[in-house]
Amino acid sequence: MIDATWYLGLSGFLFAGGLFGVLTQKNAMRILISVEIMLNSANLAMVAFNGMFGLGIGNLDGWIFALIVIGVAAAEAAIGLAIFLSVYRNFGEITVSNIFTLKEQEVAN
Amino acid sequence: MAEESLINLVENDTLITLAALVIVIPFLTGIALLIMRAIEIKKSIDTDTKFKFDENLTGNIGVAGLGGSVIMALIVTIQYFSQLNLTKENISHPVINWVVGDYNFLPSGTGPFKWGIALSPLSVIMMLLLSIIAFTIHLYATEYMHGDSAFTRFFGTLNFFTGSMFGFVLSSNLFMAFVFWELLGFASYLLIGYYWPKASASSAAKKAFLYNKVGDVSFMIGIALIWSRTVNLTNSGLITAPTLDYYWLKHYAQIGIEGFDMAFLWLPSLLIFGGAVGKSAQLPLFGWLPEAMEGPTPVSALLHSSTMVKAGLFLGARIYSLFFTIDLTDLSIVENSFIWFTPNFIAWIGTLTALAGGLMALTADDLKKVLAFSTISQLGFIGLALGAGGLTASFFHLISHATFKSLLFLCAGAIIHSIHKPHANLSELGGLKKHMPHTYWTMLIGLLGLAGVPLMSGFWSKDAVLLAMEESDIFGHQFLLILAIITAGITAFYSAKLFILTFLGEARYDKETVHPSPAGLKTRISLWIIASLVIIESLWWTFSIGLGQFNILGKNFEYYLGSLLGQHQSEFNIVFAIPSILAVLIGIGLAVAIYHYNMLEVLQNHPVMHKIFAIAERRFYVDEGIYWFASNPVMNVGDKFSVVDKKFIDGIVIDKVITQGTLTVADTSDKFDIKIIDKFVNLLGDWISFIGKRLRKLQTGMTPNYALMMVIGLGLILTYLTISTLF
Repeated sequence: MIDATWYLGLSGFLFAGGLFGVLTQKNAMRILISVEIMLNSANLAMVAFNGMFGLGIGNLDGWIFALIVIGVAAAEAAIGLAIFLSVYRNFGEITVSNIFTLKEQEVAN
Repeated sequence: MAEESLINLVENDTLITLAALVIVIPFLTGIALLIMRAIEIKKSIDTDTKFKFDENLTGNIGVAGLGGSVIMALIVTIQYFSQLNLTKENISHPVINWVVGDYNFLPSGTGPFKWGIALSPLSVIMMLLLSIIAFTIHLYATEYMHGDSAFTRFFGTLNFFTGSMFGFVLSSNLFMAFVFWELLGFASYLLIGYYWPKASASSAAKKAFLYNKVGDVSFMIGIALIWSRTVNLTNSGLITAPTLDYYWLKHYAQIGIEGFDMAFLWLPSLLIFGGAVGKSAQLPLFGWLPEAMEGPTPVSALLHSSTMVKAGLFLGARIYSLFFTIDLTDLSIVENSFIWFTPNFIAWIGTLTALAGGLMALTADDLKKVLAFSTISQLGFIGLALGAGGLTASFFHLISHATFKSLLFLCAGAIIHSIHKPHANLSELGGLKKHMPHTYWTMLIGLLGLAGVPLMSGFWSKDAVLLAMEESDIFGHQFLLILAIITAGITAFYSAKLFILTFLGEARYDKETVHPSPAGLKTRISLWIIASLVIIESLWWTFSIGLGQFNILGKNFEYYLGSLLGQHQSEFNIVFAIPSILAVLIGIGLAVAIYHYNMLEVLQNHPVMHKIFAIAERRFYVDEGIYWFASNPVMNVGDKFSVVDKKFIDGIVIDKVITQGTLTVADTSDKFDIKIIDKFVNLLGDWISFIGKRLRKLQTGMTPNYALMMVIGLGLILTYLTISTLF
């Protein structure tokens, strides 16, 4: 049986990689993928912890959490793709660094 | 001379209620009419047309108000005299009941300030006389004022005026008397200024009001002195309560309380008589009375006969006992010379007023002004008798004068109405006999009374006045008596002159434009009502005093009156009356000779006569003296005060202290506001905007930056949690 530490290490590696992707990538699709990687790393960690600390045969809390997160991720992907489509229709691109209408606009005082 | 009858104080609620109705009814109708007048004005403005209630309606309300008063007054008089129980035995000194009812309106329920009605023979007779004359004048006015645009206002004010006089006559104390006295002055102001758009009318109203006001102030000070003295006497336990009641003042004056004798009373009684000088147009405050002719003639008739000008002398009769607290014949107790002052003063003022009024009446040309000056003269006679100690004589003359003078004014009104002119000047009349037979006869009756032709009403009363002067102890009473007899001759002279110039001879008015018409029906009725009163008085007194006939209780009219008022004087005596009869006959003879037969032109054109006439025409410079006094010393003092006002109050206090002070304070607080409060607020704002500007830089709008911030924030939180769990 593989030690749970390895799972956690893999999980941490995936999380760090996802985070790196979120912070560095400019294409919104890539960022979404990176977010998915981070979610899945979290799933992995939860399942690993369930194996480490889950006492008794019927204890499946970690698994259940993982399943919920997968559901959330699916929903998130659906909404995110819809937003991207909309953004694309408005701006003609989905390059995040080029779209900064949230910034305070210069207005004539 | 001070034979006082016994006086009892009794209560009789029925009588008091009826007497109160005499006052209240004309007041209520008067106020109702004034409200109707207000409605008229409002509707006229709203609809922009002349709206006026039917004259029959408003006139009838006005007359009905007085009609109610007459009925009540008759009932009160009959009931009052029937409870006096006069018999042959007690007629010389009857027990007089004063029916008094008071209503305390002050919450304390005590004190002299209260409404009250006192029925004494004096007030009851006056009330009856007043109600009958005022009723007739109202009836007359419905025709005289016909077609006037402010008909409703006229009747409203006239009712109000009469109601005030009722209140004054029936009041039981000096306080209430003063209140109604002032109402009377105010109502007369409204009536004299009835044609107020005319400048002369409004200035006459102001003049009357101001002249009266001088007297009013004097009256008020007199009341205040008496009141404060009664307070003092109450504190020292000599009397039970402070009072202004006529009854108690009379009582205290008669029983002779220490501190309430002539040594004190001469001043208050003089001051109260000062009020009478103003109201009754005695010297020197007579100037307003001729000007008061600016009012409509019914007003003059009412003003001159039984209201207003009689109010002053009626007041004198009311407080008569304060002038004569002691038996004046008993000289041994007279130590203080002031005791003599008030009666002497009144008698001298009265005589001089009578003479001056007579002389002025000689020179006046306006018919109504002749009558006005004659009123002044007759009021002088009444005052003269009052000062001489003849209460009975003065009241006697007051009654006869009230009747014949109202008749004369009503006749004058009929003449003015008939020739359709604002003024009837004697030089533009004449020959009216054939046009106005009724006015001719009634005026003849009135003038015979005024002239004091033997056997007429004025003769008997004037003779009583002269007799009172003869018997008095006034300083120089023989001299005053001669003056009074001369005045009687003058009175006869101008009465005859008035009659001749108005009714006899050729017409001097412009026959093209003036067409005299006979008097209307209501006018004729009113004239004959009062003329019959004069005739009744003349016949009654002739039989009673002159012939001693038909006297139920064995004494003559004058004696009854004396018993009721508590003061008797010697009876009529033909030898004494001869000088005044001669004066009257000479006066009439001269007038007939001069004005009817145009004789004695030498006398008319004599320079001395011209001089006397010129002086009398200027009213003896009394008015001018008053104007001079008002315009020079008073204005000088006013100027001085105005300098103080301008220089000191305006210049220093207002300009320097208050204005500058306010400006300085305002400047300082302005500076404080700008420099400190505004600066602090601005500083706070600057800070916040400075911080905001810096913070704004964080908002880049770049999604990765936000994500980075989230990560950094999360990292910081985790670090903190980790560190806090470690330690």
